[in-house]
Amino acid sequence: MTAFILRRLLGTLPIVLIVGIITFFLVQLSPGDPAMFYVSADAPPQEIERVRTQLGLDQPVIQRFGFWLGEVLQGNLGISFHQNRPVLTGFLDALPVTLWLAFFSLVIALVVGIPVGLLSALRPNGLVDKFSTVFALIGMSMPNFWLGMLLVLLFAITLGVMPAQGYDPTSFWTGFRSLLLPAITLGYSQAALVARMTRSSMLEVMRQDYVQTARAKGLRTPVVLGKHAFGNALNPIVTVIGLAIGSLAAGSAVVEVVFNLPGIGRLVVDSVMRRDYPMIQGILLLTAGMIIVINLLTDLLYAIIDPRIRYD
Amino acid sequence: MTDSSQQKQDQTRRTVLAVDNLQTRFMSRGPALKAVDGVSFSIGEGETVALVGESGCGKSVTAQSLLRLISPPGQIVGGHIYLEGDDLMTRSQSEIEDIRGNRAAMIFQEPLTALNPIMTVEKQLAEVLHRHHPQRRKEARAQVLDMLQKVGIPDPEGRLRAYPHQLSGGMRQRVMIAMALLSNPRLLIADEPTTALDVTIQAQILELMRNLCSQMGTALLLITHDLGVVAEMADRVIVMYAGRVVEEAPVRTLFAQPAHPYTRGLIQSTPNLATHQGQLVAIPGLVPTLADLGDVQGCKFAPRCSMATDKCRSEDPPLQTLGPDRAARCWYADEVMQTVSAQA
Amino acid sequence: MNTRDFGINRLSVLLGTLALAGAAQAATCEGVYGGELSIAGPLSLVTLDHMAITSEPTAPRNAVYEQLVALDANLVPQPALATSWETSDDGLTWTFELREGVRFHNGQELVAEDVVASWERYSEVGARRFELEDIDRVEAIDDRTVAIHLSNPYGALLESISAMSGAWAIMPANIARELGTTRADRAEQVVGTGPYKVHTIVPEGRTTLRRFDDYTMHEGEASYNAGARCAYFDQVTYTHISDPSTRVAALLAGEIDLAIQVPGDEADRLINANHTQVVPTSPGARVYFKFNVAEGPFADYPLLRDAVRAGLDTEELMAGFGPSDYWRANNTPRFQEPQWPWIDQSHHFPQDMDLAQQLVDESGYQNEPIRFLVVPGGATGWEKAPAMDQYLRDLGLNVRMESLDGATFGSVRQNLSSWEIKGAGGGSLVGLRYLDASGVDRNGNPWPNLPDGWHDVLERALNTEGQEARAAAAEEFYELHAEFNNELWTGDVFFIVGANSNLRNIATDDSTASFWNIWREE
Repeated sequence: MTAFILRRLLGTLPIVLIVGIITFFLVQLSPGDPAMFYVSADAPPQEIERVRTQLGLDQPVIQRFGFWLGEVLQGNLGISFHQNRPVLTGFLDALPVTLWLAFFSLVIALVVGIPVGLLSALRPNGLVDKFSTVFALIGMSMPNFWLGMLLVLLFAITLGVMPAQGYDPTSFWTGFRSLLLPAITLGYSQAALVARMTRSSMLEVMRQDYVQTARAKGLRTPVVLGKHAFGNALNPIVTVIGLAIGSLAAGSAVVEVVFNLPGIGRLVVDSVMRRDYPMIQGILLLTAGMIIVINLLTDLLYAIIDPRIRYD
Repeated sequence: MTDSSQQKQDQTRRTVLAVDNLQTRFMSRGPALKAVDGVSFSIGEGETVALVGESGCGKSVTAQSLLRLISPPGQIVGGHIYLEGDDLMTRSQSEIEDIRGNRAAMIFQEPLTALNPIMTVEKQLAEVLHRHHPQRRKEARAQVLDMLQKVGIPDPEGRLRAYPHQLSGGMRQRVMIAMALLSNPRLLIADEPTTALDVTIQAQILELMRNLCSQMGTALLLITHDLGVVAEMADRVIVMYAGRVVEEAPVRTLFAQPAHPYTRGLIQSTPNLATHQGQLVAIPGLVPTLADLGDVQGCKFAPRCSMATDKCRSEDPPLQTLGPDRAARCWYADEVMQTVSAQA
Repeated sequence: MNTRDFGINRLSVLLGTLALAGAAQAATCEGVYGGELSIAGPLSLVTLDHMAITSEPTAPRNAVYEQLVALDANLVPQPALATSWETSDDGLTWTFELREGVRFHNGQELVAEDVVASWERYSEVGARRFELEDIDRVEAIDDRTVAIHLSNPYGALLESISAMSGAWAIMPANIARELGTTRADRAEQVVGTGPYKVHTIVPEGRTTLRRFDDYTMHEGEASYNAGARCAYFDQVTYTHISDPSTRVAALLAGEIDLAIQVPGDEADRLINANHTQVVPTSPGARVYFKFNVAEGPFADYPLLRDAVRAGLDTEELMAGFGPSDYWRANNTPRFQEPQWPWIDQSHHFPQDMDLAQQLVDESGYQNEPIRFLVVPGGATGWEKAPAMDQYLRDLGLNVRMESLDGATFGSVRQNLSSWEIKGAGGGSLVGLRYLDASGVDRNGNPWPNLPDGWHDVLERALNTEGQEARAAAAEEFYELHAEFNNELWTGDVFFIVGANSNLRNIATDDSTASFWNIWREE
C-alpha cells in the first residue's frame, strides 16, 4: 500500500508538470496584456512598454517559460503582478475560505443527497422518489449563480437572517454563517447528483443476491439497507464525491464571485480578468496538485470500503 | 432406506411446512403474471423434498414466497403457508423477520454473490446469532466456529477474518450452509445450491447438507433443475411447470414410472438417467414465458406435448391423485405410466 | 513674475479665506460626527500607492494623500497643499508656497524637502509621469517654498499635477526615499496628509481608514477633490465586491452603506427599497465608438463614417443604460454646468436614415466585412452593443459583433487589421491627454490623414498662456476633430452610487464616490 501511494505520488509529478506547461502557454499566449492593468489601459504605449519590461514580459515566451519552470522546480511560484507579493502567500490567504466552502458544500451534498437517494431507492417511483427526481432535475439544471441570487433575495434581503455576501472569519460561527448560503448554492447540485447516484447504486445493489441473503437471515430492513446494501453501494457514490470535489473547485469560482468570498475561486477569476500570469499559473498548478491528491485519496477510500480492491 | 420404509416414516413425522394454494403474481402493465399459480405441498420433519422444473417454471419464486421474500412488483396474492402450524401469511413483517434465518433458513444458488463481499465470514455468521439470539452474544464466536467445523471448513479460526472472495466456491457454499443452519432451523430451503459448483464439489456439498439436515431433523426443500441431484437427495419430488405442480411422487416411483409427459421428458433429457435408453430426447419447444401463458387454453404443456389431444388443448386438467403421495396433472396419466413401464 | 490663473477678485477672496481659516473650518463642517462608513466598489484594493497605480479605486487614496493642487468640479485646479503659485516670464519655473502647519499622519510636519523627495520617487514609479516629462527638476527653495523647473513651457502643468490617480502624491521624504521603486503596499508605508489615515490593508479583502485628527483643513467649498474636507466618520472601510448585483444585494441587506457603480438596471431596486437611495454622479463615462481610420472600409470610404453617424438614434441607444436619469444622449443639453471648457458639445446629428442610406451608397462600400469589437462591462458594453449592431445592419453593413473580455479587447484593439469599429469609453471630463490620444492609435502611431494643422492646434491648446486662450484653441481643435470624424460620441452615462438613506451630503459631482464629506444622520 505504501509503495502504491509513493508510486502514485511520484506519478503525479509529471501530470502536474504537464498541467503547468499547458497552463503556462495557455495563459501567456492568450490575448491580453497584464501591463495594461498594472498601469492603465489608457496609458500611452511607451508607458505600457516600460511596465512590460519591468514585469519581464518583453522577453520571448520560451525564455520566460524556462525561467518560470526553473523557479517552480525550486518551489518558487513567483510574485503576483497585482498583489505584488508571493503567489503562494496570496494562494494561502485565499485557501481557507475555499476549503471551508468546499467542506460545507460537501456536507450538504452528503447529508441531503444520501438520505434522499436511499429513500428514493426504497420505493422506486414512490412519492419520495418523484419528489427527489424533481429536486435533482432542478439541482442539475439551475445555474449556481441563479440559485445563489434567489437565496440572497429570500434570506438576506427579504428575511434579513443571513448575510448577503462576504466572509467574516471572526469565529467559527460567523464563518459558518457567511458560508451557509454559498454552501447551499454550491452543494445543491452536488446533492442532486449524489442523490441520483445513491438511488441507482442502491437499486443495483438491492438486486444482488447478498441482499436477498441478508433478508433471508431475518435482518431488519434498516440493517439490510444500511449495512449490507449501502456498504456495497458506496463505491460509485465515492466516485461521484471525488468528481464533486472537482466540480466544487470549479463551481466555487462562480459562487465566490456572487457571494463575494475572498477565496481561490474569486482570486482566479479576478486574476484571469487582469491577466496576473504568475497568480493564474500558480493557482492552477496548486489546484491541479490538490485535485490529483484528492483522486488518490478517493482511490485509497475504495480499498477501505471494498476489501476486494487491493493496491500492490 | 427403501421407499416403503421411507414413506411409512413420513406419515409418522410431524409436518414442518404445508403450502396450500399459494399464488404469487408479478404486476405488470398488462395482466398480472401468474408466477406461482395455486401450488400446494407439504414437507415433514427430516424429510427432503425436491422441487424440480425448467428455468422459469416458478420454482424459485415458490421458494422465495415461502419466506415472503417476494418484493414488488411481485406479490403473494393468495394461499397459506403453514410453518409448524403457524400461517405465515397472517404474520406481520416484523414477525416474518423473526422467523427468517431462525426457524426457516435459505441457501442460494451462487455462493459468491450470495455472500456480502465487504463483510468478513465471522461478521456475516455472527450477525444471524446476534439477530435471533441476542442473549447468547458472548457465545457467538464459539458457535460460529463450531458450525464452521461442522460444515467441514479447515482451519475455521483462520477463516473467520476472511472475506468471501478469499474462499473457493465450495468453501463459500459451506459458509452459506453454516450460516443457514446456525439457528438450528426447522426448515431449510436450498435454491439450486450446487449449480454453480463443479461436479466433485457438488457431491460433497449435497452429502454435507443431507447429513446435517438429518442430524438436526431439519426439513429440506431442495430446488433444482438437475434430476441427478434429485435422485441422489430427495425423498419426494414435486415437478413444476408454468407455475403449477404437474406431478408429485416419491423419488423412485417418479423415475421408474413418471405420470406426466413433462416429467418423462425431463427424465429422458437427463444424461446419466437416460443412458440406459441409449439416446437423449429433448422436450420440443421452449419453456413458455409467463406472459405467453395467458394465451394458452387447456393444459399449459399441451403445445409441447407429443401426446396432446384436442381435449388437452381445450380443457385444463386438474391435479389428480393417482395413489398415496402421488398426483399428476394430465388427462392421460395412466397411459403415460403404462408406456414408461412398457419401455422399461 | 506675474500671478496667473487667479483674477484679482478671486485672489482677494482667497486671502480673506486664509485669514479666517480657523473660523471657516469650524463653520464648514456642520454634519454629525462619529460612526463607521462601509463602502464597496468593483475593484480589488491591494495597495494605496497613489503614485504607482491608476486602476484601483481612487477615493481611498485621495482621502489619504494630497497633492499641491486639487481639481474642483469644473476641473479647475484649486489650492491644496500649495496655497499659491507663480510662473516665471519664460514659463519655465513655477514656484509654489506650501500651506503652513500641515502634518503627515506620522506626525512629521510638511516641508519643501518632502515635495522634492516625492517628486523624485514619482519620476521613477509615477503611472502618469509621462504627462510631466517636461519637468526638469524640483527644488526646495526654503522649507515652505518649492520650485518646479521645466525644460519646455507646459500650460497644463496644474491639471497634470492634480491628477486624481497615478498622481504626484506628497509623502514624507524619508518614506519616499525608503520606498524608492517599491510599491507602498503595507499600511505603515502609506503616509499622507489627508483627512483619513490608513489603519489596515488586507489585500483582496478590506481596507480600513481612520480619521486623522491633526488634519489641516483647506479653504473653500468642498468641490470634487478640492476645498474643505470634513472627516465625519471615525472609521471607513472599503471592500471589494466585484459583482454589481452582489453590491446591490449587500446594500439592500444593510451590510454596506455605499455601493460604487450600480448598474442602471438595478437602480430601481434601490429606489424602491425604503432604506436605500441612489445618487447619480457626474462626470460619468463618455460613451463613444471608434472607427478604424487606418485600415478597412471606414478608412477606404470616409463617407461611411458619416453614414453611421447619421443612421444612429443616440437617445434610443443610450436607453440601454436604464432609467433616463442616469444618462444623457448627445442630443440633449449636458448634465453638468458650467462646462469644462474643453468638452465637445457642438457636433450632434439628428438621426436621418435617408441621408445615412444615401451616404452608404455614395461611399463606395462593397459589402466588406466589418468587425465590431465590444467589451462587456465597458461603457459601450452589453447594454448598448446589440442595439449598435442592429443600427449597422439596418444600414446594410456586413457587420459581425465580437464580444471580448477586457484584457483580450485591450490587446486586439492594438492590431489595426483585426477590427473596423469598436466600443470605447472614458472619463467624461476629457482633458488634454484625451485630445492628444485621439490623434494616435493604440500603438502610439498617428492616424493617417489627420487634418492639416492638427498638431499645431493641439500644441497651442496645451501651451498657450491662460486657460481661456487654451480653451479657445481647444475649441478650434474640436472643429478639426469633428471634421476628421474618427470617433462617434453618443452620450454620457453617469455612475450611480447606491447609498443607505441615512447618509447625507453625498457629492453628486464625483463619480469616484469620495466620502470625506459624507455623514450619517439616523
